[in-house]
Amino acid sequence: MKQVKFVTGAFLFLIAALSISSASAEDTATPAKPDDSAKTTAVKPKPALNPWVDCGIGAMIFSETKWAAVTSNILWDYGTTAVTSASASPNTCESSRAKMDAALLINNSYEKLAEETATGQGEHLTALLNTFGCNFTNHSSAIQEIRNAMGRTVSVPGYINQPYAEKAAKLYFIADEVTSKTCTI
Amino acid sequence: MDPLSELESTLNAFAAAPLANPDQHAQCQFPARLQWLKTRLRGHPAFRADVKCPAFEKWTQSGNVSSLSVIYATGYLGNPASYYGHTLLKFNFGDEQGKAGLMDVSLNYGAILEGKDDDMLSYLIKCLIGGYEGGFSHIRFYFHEHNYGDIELRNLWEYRLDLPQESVRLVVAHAWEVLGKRYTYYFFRHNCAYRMTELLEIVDGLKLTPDIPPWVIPQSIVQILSGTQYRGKPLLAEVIHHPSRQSRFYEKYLSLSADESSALKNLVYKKYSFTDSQFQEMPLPSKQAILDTLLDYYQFIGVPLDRAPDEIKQSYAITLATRYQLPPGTPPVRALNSVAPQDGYPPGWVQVGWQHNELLGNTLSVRIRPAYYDVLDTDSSHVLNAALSMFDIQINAGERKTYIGKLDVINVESANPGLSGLPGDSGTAWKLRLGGEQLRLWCNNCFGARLQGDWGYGRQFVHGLFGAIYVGGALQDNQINQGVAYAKTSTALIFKPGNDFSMRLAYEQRLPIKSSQGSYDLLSAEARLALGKRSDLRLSYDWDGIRSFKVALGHYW
Repeated sequence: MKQVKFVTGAFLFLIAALSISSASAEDTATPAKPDDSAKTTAVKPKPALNPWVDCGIGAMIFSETKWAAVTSNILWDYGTTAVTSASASPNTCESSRAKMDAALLINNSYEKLAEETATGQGEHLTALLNTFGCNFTNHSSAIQEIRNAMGRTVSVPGYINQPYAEKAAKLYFIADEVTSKTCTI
Repeated sequence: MDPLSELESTLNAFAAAPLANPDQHAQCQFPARLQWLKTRLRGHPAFRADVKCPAFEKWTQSGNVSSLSVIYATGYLGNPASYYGHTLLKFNFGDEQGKAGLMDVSLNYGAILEGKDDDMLSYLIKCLIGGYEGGFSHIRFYFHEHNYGDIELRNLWEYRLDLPQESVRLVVAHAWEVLGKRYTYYFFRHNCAYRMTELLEIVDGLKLTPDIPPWVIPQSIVQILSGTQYRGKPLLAEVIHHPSRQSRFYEKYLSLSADESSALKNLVYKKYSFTDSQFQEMPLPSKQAILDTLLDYYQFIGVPLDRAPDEIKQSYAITLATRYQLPPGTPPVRALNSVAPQDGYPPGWVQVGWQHNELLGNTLSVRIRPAYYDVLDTDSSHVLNAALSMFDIQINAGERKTYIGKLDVINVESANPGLSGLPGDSGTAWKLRLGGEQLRLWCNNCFGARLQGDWGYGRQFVHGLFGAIYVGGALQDNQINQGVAYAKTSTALIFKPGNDFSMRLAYEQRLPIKSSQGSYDLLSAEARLALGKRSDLRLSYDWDGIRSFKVALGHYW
């Protein structure tokens, strides 16, 4: 557990450093001149919401249980899922409810999702696509695209030792992008 | 409180104007009462207030619960609080195809620890005597599916109920009412199974909680469910098995052909790798089957994988990357021949028999085991080749004397079946027994307390044949010069070709400590034949310098 917290903290520091540097770049971006209609300067898009970094996704799953209770039949401290702290406002996270639900599912079941994506099917994968609002008729093509991207992801040297939150976030962004492009409601 | 006054107060609260915080309105706090009273007092003015309940609507997805399921998690011998299994309630919303699933809301009841750091013994005692409050929590089903199935390696059985929609809505509404309520948690009676059935029994005409015995065991509830009729139809609509990671690994492993199994072993022992021709030239379905089996294997032995040794993690990573290089597809897998919990034996057992002791003569033997199972009658609804019993007492009545043969306060035997024999699946086994018994077979006035523990390894040799070896010892009452303790080694063979017949052979050598008694050997053999679903016939033989035989009939209740 301590190891997870240390690695997670290091990851958050890295993300914060990158965010500061990108924000600085954005602040210094030159706005378009109103009398120069031929050319405009591109504005960097706002970074997509990262449920792990921005919304403390690991803690969110417990905050939804109405009380922070431990049952007599579940041992919590396996350190198998990432617990991160939130930096965005609850409203920001709550407004993307479906995406938060998808992120929670990924955070809890990342390994099974990675395995099911490898085999091309599975109930966790189906649940993920449904949660992203992907129409059933588009599942097959969405799975293929997610599979292609995940195949590259898991082949990266050192993949297995990447922080859990990082691996989960990658799958989230892959699935989010694929379903945005491929799936229609 | 006077019921009429309570009713009037309730109706007044329901009739109140909407509040600034709508979820605080009585109609939103007590939706089950509202629903029930509406059917009894149709058109009453109290129901005219236009109250919206955003939180309740969100929780029920605007009343979109299509059915209810009771989830049963099989027992787990790694945690005494989980020995008897666990029950949850699931609200099935259904996906596009109408299938219930992982995103459904599940309701769980248990002891509220709230950061208390009690050691295991304190925890157990408090659970028994009501030292904790209990309460409900709700979470998506995938959370429990992961923790029970992948971490604790417990099978989940889902029992979908056939209830009319108004009954489903009533149970869901009542569940909302009790969220946040605090109860006193009692492990034996007012436990998870009791509270689940209490929720379901809000439906008129549904009775699931047994009055006898005074305790409630989760498996008993699913057995009652499976035999219950509601409005002329079986209450049980469907049984769905959610196998654990361990079960999925064993299913895949046992489905491999001889060549595939051999290749898998070679890969595990690094005789060759995925890039070598021995693997590359295998047919695609074989490669897929081997890789899928290995993924489950590494997760099983490494659980949780994040904390596994680096070698296991690296092996898993290479397996996963290789799987992505192959086309998608899943070869067929044969399901394990499992006995579902609702079809298992009831938890209580009583046995009456005739016992002949070479020295002590003939006695009538009566044995009462309130719960739960031993190595001969355990099935896949429990932990295979394991035993769990509490307050198991045997009384012998002879011509001249009646005496207690044994009293097990608790007896636990845990044995990983080690079906594959691969590294990490070699079958760790342990035993723990606390109670009292006649310290030797040749005396009936030597009843003494005894605490025994053993550690060892077990292995499933072929289908139906399991063997184990142990080292251990015991602390005991020093009676008839048997010493205060002894060390021991033991072996056991369990033969179980099917569910109806089983046999156990055991040998033990004991070395008493601080006793003039030298080491001595014990032999035992016991055979069991099932007589239908609720009875059995057992023959047993014991040797401790003298012989003892017993033939007895048992009945499950």
